[in-house]
Amino acid sequence: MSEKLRIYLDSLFASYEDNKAVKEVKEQLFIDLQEKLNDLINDGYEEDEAFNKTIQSIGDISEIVDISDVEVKELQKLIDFSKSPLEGSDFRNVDVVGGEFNHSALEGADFSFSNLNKSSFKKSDLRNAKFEGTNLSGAEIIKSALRGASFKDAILDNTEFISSDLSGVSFDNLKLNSTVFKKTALTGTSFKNTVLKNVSFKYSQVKEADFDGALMDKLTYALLEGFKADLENATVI
Amino acid sequence: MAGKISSNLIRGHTDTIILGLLLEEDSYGYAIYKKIIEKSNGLYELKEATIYASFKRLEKEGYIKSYWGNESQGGRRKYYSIASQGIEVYKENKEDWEFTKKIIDKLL
Repeated sequence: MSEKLRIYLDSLFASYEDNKAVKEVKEQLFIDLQEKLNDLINDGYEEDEAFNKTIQSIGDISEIVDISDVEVKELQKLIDFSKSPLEGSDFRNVDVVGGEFNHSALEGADFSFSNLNKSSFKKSDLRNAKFEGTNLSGAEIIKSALRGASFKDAILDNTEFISSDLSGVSFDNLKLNSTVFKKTALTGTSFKNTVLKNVSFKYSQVKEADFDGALMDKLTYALLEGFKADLENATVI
Repeated sequence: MAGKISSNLIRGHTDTIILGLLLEEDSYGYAIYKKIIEKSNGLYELKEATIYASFKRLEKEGYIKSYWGNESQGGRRKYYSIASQGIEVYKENKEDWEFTKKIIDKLL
């Protein structure tokens, strides 16, 4: 019976396996549910009935996953600011296709109108950085802090934001094609009047993001709806 | 019993309910789950996921602390205890609720 429970939880949490905080909750839940199962069987329930009653007490695990922005905080500690102190640097209009910015302290750096096609930013501090009119298509931004960054008129086609903090960032009025937001903190992130096509939001806090006036294809809409985003004022195109 | 529980109304009090139970004694997920059913005479069930989401929130705020139990079999359990800040927040929220309740009772 305990094995059946393990299998059930494994499938329920399958897509969150690489999230440490969620994994820990899963283990605690497993101990809890075993105890409940035993209680019910001692109360005289048949095994199947006891199992069903037990799994019904779990509820909606997306609630737990939403709290996982703790992870983003953890990664901020990982940033090694010593490697590349470039705070407030001016990179305007530069062409750095395929550039690599790893462990870089780039708070407030200005990349406006530069070409960062296929560039990569890993574990970098990009808070308040300016990417206005910047071509970031195909770029990857991983485990980085982006609070206060600005993306006005930026090109974000195929750009991947992974395990990064995008809280409060505005993507208003942009056209996003095949942009990836994976494990991103999106509290107060705004997509007002943004056009979203084939955009993915895996394990991101979409519930906390603002999609007022956003236009999106069916796929993106269905995905966001599944993650319980507020789409009341969003439109399918 | 007539009437049903408005889950929207009660949801806003989840954290306070859990703080209140931790004020009585240190506890863990399933024990809290059982306590809520018992205290509400079976009228309210807080799902496990909701309880754990609340634990995480409260711990992040510094209102509760966690520690590992020393069970020898069946996996280690995490226990939660209320922190002094949590006691303050509990008292405050309870006062606010008493006050709100009085007003709503007058208005409805």
